[in-house]
Amino acid sequence: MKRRITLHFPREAVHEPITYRMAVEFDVAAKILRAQIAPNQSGTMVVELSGDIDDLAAAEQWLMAQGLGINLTPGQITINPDVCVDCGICSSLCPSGALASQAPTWQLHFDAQRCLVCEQCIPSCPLGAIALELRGP
Amino acid sequence: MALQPRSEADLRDRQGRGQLRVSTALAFRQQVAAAGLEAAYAATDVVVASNAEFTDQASLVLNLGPSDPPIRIRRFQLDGVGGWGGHGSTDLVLPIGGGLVEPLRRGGAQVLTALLAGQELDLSARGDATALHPRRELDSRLDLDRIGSGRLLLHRGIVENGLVAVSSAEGLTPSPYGPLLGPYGTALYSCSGAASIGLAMPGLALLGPGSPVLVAGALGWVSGPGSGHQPQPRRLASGHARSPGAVAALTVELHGLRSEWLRACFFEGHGSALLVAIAAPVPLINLAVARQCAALDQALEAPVLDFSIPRRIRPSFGAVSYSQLLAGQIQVDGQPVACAPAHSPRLAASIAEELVSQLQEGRFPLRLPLVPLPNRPALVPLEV
Repeated sequence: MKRRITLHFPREAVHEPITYRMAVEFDVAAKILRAQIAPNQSGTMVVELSGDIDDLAAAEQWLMAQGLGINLTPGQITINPDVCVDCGICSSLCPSGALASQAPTWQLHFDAQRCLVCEQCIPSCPLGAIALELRGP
Repeated sequence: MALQPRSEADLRDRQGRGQLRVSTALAFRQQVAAAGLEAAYAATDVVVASNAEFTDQASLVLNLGPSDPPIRIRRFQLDGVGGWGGHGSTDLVLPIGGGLVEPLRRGGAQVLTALLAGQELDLSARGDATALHPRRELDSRLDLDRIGSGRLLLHRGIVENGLVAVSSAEGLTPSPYGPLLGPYGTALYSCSGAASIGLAMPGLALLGPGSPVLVAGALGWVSGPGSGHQPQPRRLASGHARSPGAVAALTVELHGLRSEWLRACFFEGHGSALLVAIAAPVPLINLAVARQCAALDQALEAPVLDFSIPRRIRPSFGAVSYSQLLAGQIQVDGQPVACAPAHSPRLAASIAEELVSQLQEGRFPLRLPLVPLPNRPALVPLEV
């Protein structure tokens, strides 16, 4: 499974090679989505963790033991109307019905309130019109 | 009198006088529903049908001038995308598809849209080094102004009917129409139904080599039968194809293309492709043509095929009507399956409106085909 989190680094933990250790010790892959880290300063990093659910839990426990703060990162799906052609491919995969289009206009309608942020729509869009917009930290 | 057949000369005469009566396929069907077929035929000269579908079965041909010393290009890279020479000594042939294994996921489609956007692209080429063309290598930069002429070749530019893709496999199955969730979780359909060119004009009967069509805003031409042309598919009693059927290949000049109706895209697990909006006039030369043009979505159908089976003949789940497809749900093996268009009805409607204007204002030629598309099937299985 995947989990997206924001890591808050205290100054003393910035030197720790955390993505390497998560891979080697917990078999968890960390994809860095955004980072603001500098030597001898506190920093933040948004990462997407992929791995077995128990390994993810163990990795998060270890991160907290290193003194890092952890927040689940909220995000929302955004659609670029200049790129979207209202083809409807994304709506076929949307499990919540947040993405939908219908006759006669076939204009893609996105209901953010219904969106589960499952992100299945992002790679489905052949035009790359859909993105995940991260909020914070 | 108004129900008499019309000749090409009649229609061109009307167009010349600024009196050509043109409707979109949708408006024509509404007129038929409101006033009846004969009244709608009497009031309409030409119906415009349109498609905006994805295709990777296309090539871009760029004709460059000679370098000094001359080179006979064998292979080249344009903006990091590889292609071949082999036509004229400095002609470039770039496949629109591809890019599947490249990290930047780019094919000829992305190069084409970059050129249309006015970008200057890196060109590196290798040549054969002959006595007349001694140069072995060439590095330069290209933009639209430095390309003398170019053509987009759409090998399956207009297809008579589309199909419905489903997957019987677990998880996501990549397809040329987009990812399919299986088993039987989602369906994608490639053709818009009654408003499409092939279902407004069964057999593409009013298109032949030299027929003008509007391709992404530019004047394009039918060059002949396209890849997989099958003029004799199973047909409904009305003459409409029950499967993809006849195919017209198109050619269009590069510099007239407008990015508004031409988009580069990339399908996960399949590669680069283009979304191209195309509109074609359907001259109502007699009542029979008008009747076929007025067919309703509930009377038209497309085959449902299993795209998780990578075989030449994919398992079929019969056919579904376009009214079901447009309503968003079909039945596959007795189970309801949500479906969505894998084309752009909005861009198709937009280019149809453009062609209506061009025909009414006499800016688009109106021609009946000199010869029809050939009756010989081009879909010949490759035996190995």
